[in-house]
Amino acid sequence: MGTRTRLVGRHIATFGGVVFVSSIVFGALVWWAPGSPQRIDAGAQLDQGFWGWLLSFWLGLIQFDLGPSYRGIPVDQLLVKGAIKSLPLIVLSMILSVGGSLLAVAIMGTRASSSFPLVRTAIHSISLVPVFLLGYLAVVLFAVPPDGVFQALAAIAILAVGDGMLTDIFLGIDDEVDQLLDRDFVHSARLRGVPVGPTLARHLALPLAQIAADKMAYVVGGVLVIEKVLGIQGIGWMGYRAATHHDFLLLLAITVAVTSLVAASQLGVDLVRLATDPRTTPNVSGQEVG
Amino acid sequence: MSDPILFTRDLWVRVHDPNGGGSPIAVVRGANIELQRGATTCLVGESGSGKTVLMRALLGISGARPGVTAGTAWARPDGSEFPVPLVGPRKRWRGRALPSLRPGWAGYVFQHPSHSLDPLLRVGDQVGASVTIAHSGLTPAAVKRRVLHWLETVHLPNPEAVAQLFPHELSGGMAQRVAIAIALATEPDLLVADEPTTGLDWSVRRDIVDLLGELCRARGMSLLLISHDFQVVEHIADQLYVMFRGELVEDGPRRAFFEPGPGSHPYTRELQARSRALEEGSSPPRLHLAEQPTSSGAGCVYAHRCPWIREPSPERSALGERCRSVRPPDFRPSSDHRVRCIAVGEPT
Amino acid sequence: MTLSSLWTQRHRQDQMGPVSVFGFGVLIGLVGLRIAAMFVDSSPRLGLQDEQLLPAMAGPSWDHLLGTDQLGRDLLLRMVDAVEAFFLPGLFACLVAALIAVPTGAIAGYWEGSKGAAVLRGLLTMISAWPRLVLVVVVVAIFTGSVRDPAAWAEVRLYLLGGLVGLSYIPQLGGAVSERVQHFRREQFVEAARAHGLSDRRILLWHILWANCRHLVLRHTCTLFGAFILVETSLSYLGDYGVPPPRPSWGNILAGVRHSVVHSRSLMASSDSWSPAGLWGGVEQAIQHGGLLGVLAPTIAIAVSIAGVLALAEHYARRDRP
Ligand code: SF4
Repeated sequence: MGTRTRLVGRHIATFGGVVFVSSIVFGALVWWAPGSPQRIDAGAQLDQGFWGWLLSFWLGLIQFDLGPSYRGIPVDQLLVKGAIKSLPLIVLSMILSVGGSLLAVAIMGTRASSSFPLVRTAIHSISLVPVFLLGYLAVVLFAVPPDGVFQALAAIAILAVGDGMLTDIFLGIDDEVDQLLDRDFVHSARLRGVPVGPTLARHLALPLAQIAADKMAYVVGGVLVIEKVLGIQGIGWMGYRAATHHDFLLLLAITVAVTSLVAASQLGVDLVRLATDPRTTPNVSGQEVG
Repeated sequence: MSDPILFTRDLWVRVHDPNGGGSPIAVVRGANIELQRGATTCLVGESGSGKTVLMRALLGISGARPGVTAGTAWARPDGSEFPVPLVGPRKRWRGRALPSLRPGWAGYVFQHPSHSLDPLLRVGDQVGASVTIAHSGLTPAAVKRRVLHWLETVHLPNPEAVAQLFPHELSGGMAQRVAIAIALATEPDLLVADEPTTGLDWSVRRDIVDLLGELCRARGMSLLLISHDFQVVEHIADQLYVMFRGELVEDGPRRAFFEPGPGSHPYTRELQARSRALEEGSSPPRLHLAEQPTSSGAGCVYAHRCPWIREPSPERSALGERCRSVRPPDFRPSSDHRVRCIAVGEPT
Repeated sequence: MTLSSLWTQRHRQDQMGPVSVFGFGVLIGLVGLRIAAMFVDSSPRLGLQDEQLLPAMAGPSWDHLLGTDQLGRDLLLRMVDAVEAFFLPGLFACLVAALIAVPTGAIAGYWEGSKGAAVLRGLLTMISAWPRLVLVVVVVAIFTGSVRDPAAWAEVRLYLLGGLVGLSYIPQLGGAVSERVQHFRREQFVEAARAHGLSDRRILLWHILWANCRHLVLRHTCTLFGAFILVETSLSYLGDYGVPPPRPSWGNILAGVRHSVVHSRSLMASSDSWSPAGLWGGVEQAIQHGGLLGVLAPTIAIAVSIAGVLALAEHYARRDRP
């Protein structure tokens, strides 16, 4: 049990380290950016110096009180307001993309290029179109309304497909299922008449999570674009505006938040792997049998 | 005497190129094979000769790509005949491998035990899944008792503890025993063992083969052993088939291979020479790989490597031409022994 | 596999499939356009002086094959000129990624388990947590935000963009290289080569990196180039951080036409915009206004270029199987 706790600790430490060092890097960028100290002046005390300022930023992050952005609205309020809009987009588009790919693989079978070339070509070519273009076409051709459910649905669909998202996830899942179905233990289960479904589910859960987590950073980038194009006032939209308005404190907070989101998704996969895969913990019980 | 549990007539297996395109390659050409009830049959040939593909296609567990089959096959688990449905090229996602037969009718022991065991499940649960196939409606305690029984049957020490282990905690020999227990627990009529010793240490190879032979004798189960090594099959084979490049070039009972008699196929001799050389520790005879096999399909499949046309004796000087152009006929030295070779058929 | 089938397989792999042909076709096309862009009259970049004589949003004609944009500039010329915006900066991105990621990955893989390798791995993990677009926007905003005249700094900004996209690709490429090096490190032949007196450097550089990682690196470089096209056009479309407007980019050409197209679209009653008639009405409006080509040309150009570069990546991926 001790080894397992230590491994969990190591993963959490990695996560913390990534967020910590990232915040130093971006903090330094913001601190020494041309023209930035004057902007920050409004909220923070300049005489603290860089480390003092960063320390107060971390403290603010933990206490959830980052002080006002330069417009006067508290940064944490803005952050929460944006997250409420953006997180559903991220999560739902992920689910849509993974679920759709699974469904496609289940219906067509893997490596079905010979039987369904048209479907595959369609998936590939739609997915090649960048998110901003899909958003653009949605506005121009389909007149997506500037607000409401339709807009959110359109955004989710676009995120799930564009920027190569669907192709990457589809091919990843296709590959995974293909390899899994050719594993000897699956053949063995089929021959013996043991239900294959649970075996497949057990072995696919982790790779699916891994594929989704690897795509997290891209979806966050896509969210930035689609929110700007469709005018959804989420995290990405705010970040973009903060950048153009040189609202560096808000920008730093958003960057750190987004980085932690991506790192957290990897952490989640690592922890799930530790919990479900016996191979991740070294052999302890085997010796007594020898 | 003939009471086959599984037999095929002119079975062909063709494989599609995984990258798509191109015509399928025939990896098994017109195989006639008969597995007698309660007997041990051995299928011998070098790797890549199509042995595994043949058996997997028969049992419906050919992997993702191989497909198109032609010919017919029947299974006779209890005297009545069932046609074996042959796998089409695109059939996937089927619940069971052999739908018309009792689940667990046939068991398969794979080459690498580390691949054939589900890494996420405890050994006991995997054997237990097989047990519930053979006997539905058992209480957990009854399942557990049978699991331990099967683990004992394959001579695993301390079955209680082994049942609690995950596959990665087992040594190669133990894992292969567990794999055999999993296959046995469905109480099959036929057990196929596909190079069961290749992935293992030298020290345990003999044990595994002996175990298989002993189990089959004790349970009256038919065994098909796939191997590339004559030495491995020598002491348990009742019936042998020799395969080269998808063709069964020779088959016959045990005495035809291990006792002096009227000729055997040059390829069989080559394989036997290799096994002997390996046993004696000398380096096996070198292969002549320079020549490419003719792709046309005419002539003998072995012609590009056959020593008899490479170094023709005076009596066999005209052999080469005929071997390359004429498909060799089957020659039968005795009623149950068949050799597909021109030269063996024409004693000089 | 029998020998003969192995042979035919090898043979087939070396042949150029349709994917490879498409990839190389697009590559040649892009290079051609880049060369052509050097000779294209770049006056549209300088402003509007003599262009204003042409009608805005005109349909195609013999003089102007793709018609004109919202300010009456020749669309074809601008499309060709726009290749400049991503071609060299994209190559710069590839250079940055390759120069940093290949040594990093090689060291982390070859001396696996050492302290240095652990630090490098930590760095890669950290960079992989930075979303590419967010990184680019933040850094470009910080560095060029205070510059008064964006046009003068356009070139610098594009290369900064290239450097950042290259940087954000390092974890992917470095991870792939280190995995491959590790794979060979565990093989016997490294020990054998050492026993023969070859130095680590020579084994690593020649026998592992050159002989076995070449196609891998090329493949990732192609993917990265595609990613750069994506980032550049996205940012140019959004404005602010991409190519500054008088200078063309496929992204800002689209953005320029957007206003007139959306405007004509919004003239329609919004109630029927989801019906087929409403949809067709929108398209019709766009055609009448000449904006359709302004939408289609950049859209197709972007999609085909990215598809082509990815096809090239696929071509190298097929060759890569170790
Ligand atoms: S038929 Fe000819 S080539 Fe074939 S095994 Fe006999 S002698 Fe050799």
